[in-house]
Order: sequence, then structure tokens, then C-alpha cells
Amino acid sequence: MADTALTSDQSLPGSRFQAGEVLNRIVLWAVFLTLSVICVYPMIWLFLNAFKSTNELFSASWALPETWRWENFSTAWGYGISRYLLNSVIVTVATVAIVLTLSSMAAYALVVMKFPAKVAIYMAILGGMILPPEVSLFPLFKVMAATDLYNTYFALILPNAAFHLPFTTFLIRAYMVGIPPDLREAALVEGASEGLIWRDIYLPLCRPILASAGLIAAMGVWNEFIFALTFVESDSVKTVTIGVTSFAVALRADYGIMMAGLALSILPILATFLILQRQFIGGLTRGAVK
Amino acid sequence: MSYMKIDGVRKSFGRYEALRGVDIDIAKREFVVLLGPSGCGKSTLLRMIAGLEEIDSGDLIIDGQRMNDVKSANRGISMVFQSYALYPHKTVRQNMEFGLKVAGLKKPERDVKIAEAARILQLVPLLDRLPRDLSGGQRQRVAIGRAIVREPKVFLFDEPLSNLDAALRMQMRVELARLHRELRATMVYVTHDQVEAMTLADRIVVMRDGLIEQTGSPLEIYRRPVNAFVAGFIGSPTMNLLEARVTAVSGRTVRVDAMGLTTEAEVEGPPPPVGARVTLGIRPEHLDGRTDAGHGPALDIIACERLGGVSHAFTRLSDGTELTVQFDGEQSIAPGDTITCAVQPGRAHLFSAETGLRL
Ligand SMILES: Nc1ncnc2c1ncn2[C@@H]1O[C@H](COP(=O)(O)OP(=O)(O)O)[C@@H](O)[C@H]1O
Ligand SMILES: [Mg+2]
Repeated sequence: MADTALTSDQSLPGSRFQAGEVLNRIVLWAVFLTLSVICVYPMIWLFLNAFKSTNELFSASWALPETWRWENFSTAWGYGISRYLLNSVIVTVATVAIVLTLSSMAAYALVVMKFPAKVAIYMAILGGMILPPEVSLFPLFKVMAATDLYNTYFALILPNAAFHLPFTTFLIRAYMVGIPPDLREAALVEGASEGLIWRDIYLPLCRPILASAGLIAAMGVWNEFIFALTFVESDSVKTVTIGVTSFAVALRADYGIMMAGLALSILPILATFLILQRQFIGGLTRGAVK
Repeated sequence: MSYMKIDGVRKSFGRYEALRGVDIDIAKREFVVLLGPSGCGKSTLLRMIAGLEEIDSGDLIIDGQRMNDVKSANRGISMVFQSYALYPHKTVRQNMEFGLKVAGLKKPERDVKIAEAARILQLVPLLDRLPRDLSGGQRQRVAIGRAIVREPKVFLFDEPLSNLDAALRMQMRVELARLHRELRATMVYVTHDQVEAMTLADRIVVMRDGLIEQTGSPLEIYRRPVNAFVAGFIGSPTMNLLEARVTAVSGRTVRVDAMGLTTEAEVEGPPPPVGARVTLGIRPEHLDGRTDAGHGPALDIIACERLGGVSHAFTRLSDGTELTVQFDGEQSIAPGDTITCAVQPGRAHLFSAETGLRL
């Protein structure tokens, strides 16, 4: 079989190409399928079990629920998860807004403006990516306590923003490098200030990367755990990552409702991702304007 | 009366001197073309006028005001970039509107100016399109429209036609000339294309290596290039520059011989001695080519370019020197033919063999 394939290959180069193509496809599909199962399965499992009773969850955790218990979600909602979700939304939105604004400003300056020690400053910003948040936990805590920021939204927003700035700046800078400098110069000749050029020309052209970078930051902040655990304590500011753990303690053994709570806690960020995924991929793969 | 004055302007990038002292006086409503090979500093000079590049030393004066330290926006200039630099996310209308908005004009005023520019440039049906939905020529017109609406004192163009194909370039050349007449504006135009310079300019400034070689009207420069560089740069096909020897001198009339091609030329300065080496410059259109023998040295045609009205024969003398000869389009010539040619009287240029300067 292999022999005939080989001989026919030589007379018909097209068929060998096709065989290779098919094999390629199969391997690709296998790899992607495995990857998506690994990634998506836990999520499906979570959503399925969110509809089950505790008994059912333990007896048949792989099966479809016997009856779809939507009430699990309303029960979970009633346990205060709504407040945690709101807090998460506030912290995430504020952090992402701050990060995108500051990063795009920094990136703009790094790309178009001339100033001394530019490379050193950029390196310093990139250096921020290496720093693990954990090492700053104690000093940050001291600062929070000293400034009355402790147990406020700012206690989460500011450190989160700080730790997302370097990577976001890096992404946006790389994108802005691809924007022709002529555009800025044309605008300068027309009398525009750097601020206006940043806002009216660079930001609109950077939309794909702003969406991608914003989403990356949003996912990071939404799922952030250590700051949320350390810098706030009241339910009125706790985010959902911490909220669901206290919620688990309160519910003790009602796992179905707990799963519903967990599902609710990831739903907003999951939805955001699905809505923005096109832009997300676009921003990371496409070059800037032609 | 100069309207814009560039006085002893210099610019260095690190240790590289891009401009080494440039003086240009530009009259109001004049169309000045900065012409020179790539890298000679034309764009740098234009960008300095625009305020996009700092002036190291020297003065830039526009309409009586020293502009060296004036912000780009306040110099009263508009610039058209080689890449057009249209804002990709803005429609044609918004592109033209941007500068007016920045200048603080109210909506009705902006609309009037945009309508006027759109009419002049035939952009009316395109006003709501994005640049990516326009052809090259249309983008070019939008870029010009964006410059026009601001009613600047001086228009600056940096190789605006170099991204267009030949037919469109010709059409835009005509349109630019019309625009200059219609707007009665002062324009400074950078190009490395001598045809653009010859057809558009009131005055050409020929540059090389950060210095001005010659300034003058197109015909002045064509008829009396001050050195061999300018002679070779202006005219198409380029002027033949041959090594020649002085065979006789009488008064200012010098007789020279280049491999059997002999002619006489008047020199302006002191004539070179008999026997001296000089560079003989003759334009292809000033050589009379014949297919019969006996008019001058024999030339072997290596290639022909037939343009219809005229033909250009690229030929070789017996010693290998190349010579381009222009023929009437009706004349039948072909590669491989041998021709002879003579110089039309009074059409030769003589340059110093050492310095290249006109004798
Ligand atoms: N920003 C810059 N930094 C360093 N060198 C430059 C810069 N701009 C121009 N140059 C150099 O100056 C010279 C003139 O450039 P330019 O004015 O663009 O020439 P052109 O006549 O082709 O427009 C070139 O050799 C170019 O490499
Ligand atoms: Mg240039």
C-alpha cells in the first residue's frame, strides 16, 4: 500500500500533496479538539452541575441533570452573590478604564515623542511585568492602612491597575509603532496638540488592540484573588472571587447551589469575552492601519 | 520682494550634515520646485519649513516673520505628504474638517470651505467615503483638499505624485498647475522627477548633497546649466557628457573634439588652452543623426526607444563612449545600424573636466 502510494506519488505530484494535506488536517483537528476539550470541559461540567441537587451531583456528576433546577441560580443570587458581582464589575471596569487610558498615553509618548532616557524608561515599564504581585503585598497593605484606602474599591482598583499597566503598555506600544508617523505630523501641521492626536487619531486607530488588551486586563482583574483577599474585608466591597468562597462556607454542603454561584461568578467575564472575541483576535494578529 | 526667505539654513542628524547652508528667496504666488536626487535633503528642508524638523542654524522668514521657533500650526502652511497621510478612520469630509475644527471654526464656516474645496477638486461625490475606499488619485486629491481648506500662506508638497501611475501623474500635474493658477498661492514642491519640475515650476532649485547647485526658471536651467551635475539632471533623456579635447581657441569661441565629434562653443569665462581636457555636454535633441556616412564619427546603435514623435537611439562610439541621439519618429533606425551625427551649432555646453563648472 505504502509502496503503491509512493510510486503513484511520483507520477502524480498532486495526489501526494493531497494526502499530506489530509494528514495535516487530521493532526490539526486532533490537537485542537484535545485542547478545546481540556479547556472547555471544566466549564461545561460546572454549568451542568449547577442545575443538579447535591445528591445527584455526587451520584451522577458526568450526566445531564434529571431536572433542570433553575432555582439553584435564584437561590445563589439570593445569598448575596449579586453584590459581589456588582463589586467585581465596578472594580474591573474602573481598573480597565484606568489601565487603558494610562497605557495608551504612555505608549503614545514612547512611540512618537522625543525625550531623554526613553529606552531606559520603557525598560523600567517592562520591568514591572517581572515583579510578582505577592512581593508587594505587605508594603501595599501598609500603604493602604496608612492612607485609609483599606477596604475601599480603590484598594483593589489601584494595585490591579498598577500591575496590569506594563503588559498593556507593551501591547499598545507594539501596535502604535505600526501607525504611520505621517498621520501625527499632518495633524501637527494642522494645529493639533499631542493630546488631541492621541485621542482623535491614535485611539480610534488602536481600537482592536484596546479591545484585546482591555479584555486581557479585565480577565486578570475579574479573577484576581490575592489583592481581593488582602485589601478588603466587608461584603460591600468584596469581589466575586472572594465572595464565592465565603458563600461556600455559608452553604456548607449544598454543592448544586454552590456550582450555580460559581457559574454566575464567571458568566459576566465569559460573556464579555465571547462578545469581544473577534476584536480580541483581530487586535493581537492584525498589523496597524494600512 | 521676497515672501518667504530661507537664509543660511543648516541641519545635521548626528554627525551627518543633511543641509549645509541653503538660501532661497521665494516670491508671493511663486511655484518653487526643490529638485534633486534622493537623499539630497529636499524633504528635510521642506520639513524644516513646515516646523516638523528643527532648524539648526539660519533663518526661516515667512511674510516678514521669523518662523524658526514658531509652532508648525502657526506658520500659515499646509503640507501634502508623499503618503497622503489621510486619517484612515475619518471620512473625506472629516479629513478636511479636522484642521478647521482645531482652528476653532464654526460648523457653517467649515461647511462652506469644505464645499468650496470639494468643488475645486471634484470631491463632492466622495465626501462621505473613507480613504480606504478611494483610488490613489482620489486620495491625492483629498490630501490636497485638506491642505486647501486651511487657506495657508504657503503650500508645501513632498513628492505628492510619486505614488501614482504614469497616466495619473500626468493628469495630476496638470491639475496642480491649474490649482496654482486658480488659488494664486505660494507653493514649494519637492520632487526628484525633473519632468515634474520642468512642467510645474516658476523656478527650480536644484539641490545636491545638502547644497543648492542652481536656481532659475526651468528654461534657464535647461539652456544654461551651471555645472555638469545640473546639466545631467535636467532634461530627458539626459544630456550626453563626453570627454573632449580643445583643438582651437579664437576669442571666446572654443573648438573641441570628442572622438571625432567636433563642435564649437562660446565660453563665458577665460577660454581653456589648446590641448586642455574639458567635458562636452550635448543634449540628445541637439544632435543631428543621419543614416548616411560622412557627417561625423560612426556610431553603432545598441538600443532604440521609439516614442512616436521622436525616437531615441542609444549608441556607442568606437572607443565605447555612449551617446544618445534623438531622431525624428519617421526615421527608420534599428539596433545594429551604424549612423553618423553632428552637433547642431551653438548647442554645445563646455564644463571644466576637474570641477564640472561651466566654462
Ligand atoms: N530623522 C533623520 N535622522 C537621520 N538622518 C536623516 C533623518 N532624516 C533625513 N536624514 C538623512 O538626511 C539626508 C537627506 O534626507 P531627505 O531630506 O529625506 O532627502 P530627500 O532629498 O530624498 O528628501 C538623507 O541622507 C537621510 O538619510
Ligand atoms: Mg524625500
